[in-house]
Amino acid sequence: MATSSRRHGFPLGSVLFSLSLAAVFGYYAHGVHAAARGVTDWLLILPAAGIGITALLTIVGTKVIDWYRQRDAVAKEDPSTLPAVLFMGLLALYVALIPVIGFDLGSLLFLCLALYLQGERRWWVIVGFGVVVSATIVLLFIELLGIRLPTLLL
Amino acid sequence: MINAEAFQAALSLLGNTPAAWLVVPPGLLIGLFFGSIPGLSISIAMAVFLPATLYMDFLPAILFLTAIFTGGGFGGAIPAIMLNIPGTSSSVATAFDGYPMARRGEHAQALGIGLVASVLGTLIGYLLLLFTVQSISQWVLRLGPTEMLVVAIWGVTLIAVLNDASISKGIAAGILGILISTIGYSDAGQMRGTFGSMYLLDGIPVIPALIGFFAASELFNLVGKRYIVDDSSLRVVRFRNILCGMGQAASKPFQLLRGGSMGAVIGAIPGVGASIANLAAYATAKQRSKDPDSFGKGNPSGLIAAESANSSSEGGSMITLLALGLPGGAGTAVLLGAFAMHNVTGGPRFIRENPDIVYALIIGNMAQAVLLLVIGVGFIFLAGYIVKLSLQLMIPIVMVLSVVGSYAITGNMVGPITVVATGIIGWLMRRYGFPVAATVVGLLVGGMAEGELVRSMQISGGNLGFITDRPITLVLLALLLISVLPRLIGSLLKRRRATS
Repeated sequence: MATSSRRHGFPLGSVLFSLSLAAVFGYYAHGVHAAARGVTDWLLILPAAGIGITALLTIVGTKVIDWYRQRDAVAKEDPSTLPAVLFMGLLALYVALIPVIGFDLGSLLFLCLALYLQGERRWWVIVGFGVVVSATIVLLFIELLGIRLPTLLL
Repeated sequence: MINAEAFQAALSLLGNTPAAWLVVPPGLLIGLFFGSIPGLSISIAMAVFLPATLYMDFLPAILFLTAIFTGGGFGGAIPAIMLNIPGTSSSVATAFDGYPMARRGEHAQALGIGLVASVLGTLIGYLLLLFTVQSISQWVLRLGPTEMLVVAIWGVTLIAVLNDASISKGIAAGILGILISTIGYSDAGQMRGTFGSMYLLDGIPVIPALIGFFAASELFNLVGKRYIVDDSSLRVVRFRNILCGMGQAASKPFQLLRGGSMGAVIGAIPGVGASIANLAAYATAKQRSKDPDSFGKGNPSGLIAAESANSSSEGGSMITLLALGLPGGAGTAVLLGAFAMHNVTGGPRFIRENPDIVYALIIGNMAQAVLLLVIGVGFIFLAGYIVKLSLQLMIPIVMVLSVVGSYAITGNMVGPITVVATGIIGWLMRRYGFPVAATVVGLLVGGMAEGELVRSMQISGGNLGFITDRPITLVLLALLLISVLPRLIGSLLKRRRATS
């Protein structure tokens, strides 16, 4: 992976992720405690969330201190996250559309778009791969394993 | 120890029941197939084929299902090694060193090591069962809620502390898993974290969450790469390399025996099973190693410990099933269903009245392990070609399989949605250095930990002094501290050195 001689940036992503997790832990523990009818309802959750929040705040503190100490050091370039983020978006879209277009058409579109996203440009490879794989998987689950899948075409 | 008369009767029973042997090879192949496909699990395979045993006699029926169990136990190691995707929850630690070996081009050796460790682990587990089935059944009954609680905490703490990330990140990741496991209706009937959705009343489905944390998050990272192994000269599956790996594992009998024994003992504890056995044996092997830093980077010893332990835990879980009639996990729960289908009730009475059948089951399973060695070699030779597949094609296929498989498990869209959500969280965790495995372990044992904590409190009346009257709890607590303290102290010293 290419590196460049740039200074250590503030670890914003890491700090934000840790703080978000801590906030979720706190929100969840508060909700459980507020609705609790007795100790047994929060016996595990409250102490666990407390330990988790402490650990996460420690991580944030350590990250900030480490950044402050090494802010003049040369940092490595992070690999691009764009392909991963696009793929996540595509997967989320696929799952969101399944109730509407079914597993057969949904899987076909997902497979074709995923292949395109990864650089394949030959249309007959994209369509052939999508049709063969989606039909095989959906029919395997429906016919061989007897699982009822919502479908539109098959 | 062994009832010689019953043992002989078991041998003649197996000799006179050819059907018991005919069902074993297809059972092993089904298990290998289901275990090796991420998204499908051993319990799905056993549940799908449970109706097929309706017209079999009791012995062939159980041997068929245990063959699926045995095959699936190793099958789960194949995607763990090749794709860093544990096919089953019991293969989590297998991926720690198996996948780095595959990335180095040593996938054939890794699969060979995994196969021999699995076969010998299964043999060790059933050998222990053979000698101890009667006495262990009495010992397991002594484990109360406090002991079970310590075992659950041990499981999470070990994986949270013994990883390459910082201890704080390990703890936070473990807690995340525990908190996710508490979503849904509690044992006391409180609705937690469901946001009013009826689909979340049963909580977050564990297997789809596991697929998301391990499979989806790893696949997101692989988008853009062309092959799992970058160097084309390393993308070759050679039979010689598989045999070399098998020899490598066989040359470490002490490690096999240690992992196998740990797996059998942990597997005998209901609710704990292969998942924890796999991790605990891995952590112990890492701790005892002269080169602990090489663990997680492709050390064969880690793979041997993990695979021998998860396979031997099958024998351990059969102890609780046969001796107490308690299923230790999803697989043994299906076996219990098969018992019920054949009007058989497991428990001390079953062992006392049918020692020949009990021994026949044990001997049959040991024979299955030997058969797995033969069938498994052929299977991994085919499965080894996974590294030759282009990631461009494989990522979408595995993703669709995971989504469809998760729908099959839950029967509604909660499964696929869980895969996406946990996949994104897992990807963020990996990006910022949080150990995903700790979250999964927290998720697996969180429910048990909460139940045992509540029961411990109810029994003790909230008095902490209660545990001083529980010697087994104290011993387990001491073992927990002994296993965790060296890493804690080492980490603190390292941090201090780095800051000075």
